[in-house]
Amino acid sequence: MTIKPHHLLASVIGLFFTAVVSAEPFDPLEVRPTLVEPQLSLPTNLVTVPVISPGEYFVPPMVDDIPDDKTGDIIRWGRNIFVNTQKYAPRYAGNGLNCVSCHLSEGRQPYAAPLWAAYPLYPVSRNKANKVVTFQQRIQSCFKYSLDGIAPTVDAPEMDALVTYSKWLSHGAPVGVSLPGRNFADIKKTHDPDKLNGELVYKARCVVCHGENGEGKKNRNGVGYMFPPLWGTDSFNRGAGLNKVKTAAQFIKANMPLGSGYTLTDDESLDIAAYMWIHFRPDDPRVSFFKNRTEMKPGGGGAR
Amino acid sequence: MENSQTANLKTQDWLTNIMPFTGWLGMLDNATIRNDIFAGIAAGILILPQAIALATMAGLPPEIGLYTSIFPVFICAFFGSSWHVLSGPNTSLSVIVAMIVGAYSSVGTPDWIMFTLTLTFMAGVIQLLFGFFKLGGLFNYFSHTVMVAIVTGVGIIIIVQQIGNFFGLTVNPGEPIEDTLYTMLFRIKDANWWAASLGFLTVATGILLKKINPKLPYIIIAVIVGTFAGWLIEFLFGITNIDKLGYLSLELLPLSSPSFSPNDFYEAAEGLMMGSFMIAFLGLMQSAVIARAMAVKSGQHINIDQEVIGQGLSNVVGSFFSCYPSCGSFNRSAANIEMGGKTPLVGIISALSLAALVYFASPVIAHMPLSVMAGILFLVGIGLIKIKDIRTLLSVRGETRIAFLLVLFATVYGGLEWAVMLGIVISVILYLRTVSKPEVDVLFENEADQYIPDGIDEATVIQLSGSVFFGSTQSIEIAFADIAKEDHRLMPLIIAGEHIDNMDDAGVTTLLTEAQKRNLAGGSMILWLRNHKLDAVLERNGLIKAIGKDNMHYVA
Repeated sequence: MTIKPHHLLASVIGLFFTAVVSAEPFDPLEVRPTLVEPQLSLPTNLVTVPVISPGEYFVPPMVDDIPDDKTGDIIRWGRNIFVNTQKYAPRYAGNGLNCVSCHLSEGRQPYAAPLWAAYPLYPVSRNKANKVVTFQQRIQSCFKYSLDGIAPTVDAPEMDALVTYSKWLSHGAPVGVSLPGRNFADIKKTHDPDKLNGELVYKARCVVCHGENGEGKKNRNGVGYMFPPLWGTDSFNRGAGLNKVKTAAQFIKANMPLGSGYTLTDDESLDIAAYMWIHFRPDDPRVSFFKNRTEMKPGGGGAR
Repeated sequence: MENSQTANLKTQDWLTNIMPFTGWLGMLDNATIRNDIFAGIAAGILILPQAIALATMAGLPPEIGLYTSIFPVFICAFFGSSWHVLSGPNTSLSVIVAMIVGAYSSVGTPDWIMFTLTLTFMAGVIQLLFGFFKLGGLFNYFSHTVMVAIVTGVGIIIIVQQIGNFFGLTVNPGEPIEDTLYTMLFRIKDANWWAASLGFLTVATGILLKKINPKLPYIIIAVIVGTFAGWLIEFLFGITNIDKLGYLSLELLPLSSPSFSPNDFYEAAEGLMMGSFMIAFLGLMQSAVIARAMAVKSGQHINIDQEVIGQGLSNVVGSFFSCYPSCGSFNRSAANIEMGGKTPLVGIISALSLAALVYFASPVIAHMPLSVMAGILFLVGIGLIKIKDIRTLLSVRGETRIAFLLVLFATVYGGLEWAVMLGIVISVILYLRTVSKPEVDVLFENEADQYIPDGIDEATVIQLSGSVFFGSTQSIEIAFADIAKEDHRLMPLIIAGEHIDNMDDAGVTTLLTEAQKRNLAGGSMILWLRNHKLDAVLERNGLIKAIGKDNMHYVA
């Protein structure tokens, strides 16, 4: 659709009108200047956010907006841990991944579990734990399952840094509102996930970055991953959210291949997720060694 | 010939001063080397759990504790005086670092580490100054009572601090201990009993082993038992939510540097200045005590100033290698002697074997539960509270008891840095109280006769010994007044002062006043001294003129 001047004018007036009329003090859908400016803070200059309709997603502050004080120092530290967990929190990472391996664009990407959508919702009751969990406890789960490592204690300095970074990213976001872009994209299946078809699609679309055997691609200097491994010992374990075929498919649909999100169909995404799921990955730490050997692996979601 | 020999000797002296390690390098033969390598490996393994636990207590990443057990040990092996003292992280220093740096940054942040490094550097420089000005002897005067009180207080602090980790709970940091204990009563039901049982297992194993055979490295065995039990529980039951240590990654050269840039240093300068002095003092005190204790056991002659320089240098260099303040460690040094370590080669080997251990066993160490670590610190804390010593100290009536309780209270409630200050003040007071009571004895009969010159029938003879200085004038004046009540200052007063070590102007003035009073009343004063050393000060104050040159006698 081509944008004509009167369309723009109408939308601006409309937005202005809603902003004035609505009794709500803050409107998450408001168009703000940072949205239309190029996002310098993104690690690559790829356009990674498919803007379906302008102003739909919350826009976190830019990196340059980090304040120059003690809080800013902690925020920067938290960002470092988030972006390069292997270097800044090696104590807690058990595999080769970084936080940013899944929470794309430094935790800003909508439908890649952005921090700005998660932070204002916690503490919340989670099915996984059957009780109210705090944001710190949620981060602990990330370390235990997705990073297949050892969780920092809730009062660890690294934990404080990550929480401070998340809080800063959610600056201005409404508390307790499920923002658009939260978590992962919706997905509908027309047939059960098919790992054979998944293999075909994987070979066609994913191998370039993630490798024939899902081993990912290391950085030039051999330290850390440019593209994360999808299975194997250096990937997330069976307890992670992305181990579930459905969740992985939701992630793939909106974000993969990197920079070309929404180019795979829902069924293709599910097929790839199923293909990922059948491969080896570290044990689920929630159950014993023997249960891991004897019981059905979790998260299959009817994969064939 | 003789000249060249003395020159040779002088060069050797100079050499041992600059490079004390030339003293023991010659001792290394095959048997000693083999012996020391074994002792070194044992010492390296022994330090591992403590290094991690103490660094955590200081709010630092565990790696820094490991670096502190590697680099300072190297430096001390080469530049320290004692051949048996192994330095490394220390309980009291860890607690005090956390208290000082805690005022300026949040725990564990990069700022916290930076301030700690600056603190280490400053403390090291102060210690070096102590060494260069040969003030090492100063630390011999630090009261033993005060030391026991501080160490006991640290033991209590450690145990209370670790209760949270022990039960798998988060406790509010920096609360008074009774608040922590009181809240624990209500929170104990939320405890992670998996974690707590591992903690209990660790402590029980440690105490039992110590009872069965005190020579066993009980801490190490307790750690292994606790960690293995933790792994077994996860293996059998899956997730237990036990907090664990995490993967350690050592760098070969963990270069760092203290920062004095206005941005970093300005806000904390005052606190760090005072803190570094406290750390320097506390570190040297413990190192001195340990060095002396080891010297008693091994029979090696210790140059305390050299030891001080070694400690200072290790802190200065340490601050460039990501180390926090270190000092001699008592249990490591004692274990070293027990295992038959003979030269500082033990220290070097222990540093190397620790590094190798962490490098190869990191994936295993990573799964050490924090409650096991709390258990170790319980054991360390219990070890610091020496019931026997305390009972002896408390049974002595008077100032020792008061000093002990005062410093203990200050350590537990006021913070360690204030306790050290108070301890210094109390040590000075206790010291002055002993020296300010010079012995004044009245002599009779034969003892008196030897001092009475010919031609005098009756005289009062007193013996004065010790230091006659501003601190002791009061008690001397009282003694003079008491004697005046007896003889009404009519008789000559003979002061047998060959045991007077030194006199200052105030002391001489006291004697002068008494001499003048006696002259007025019709008596006189006769002074016996050992030699002419004190003549200058007596002349200056006019004492010799007042009592007359004839009345001055010298033993030698």
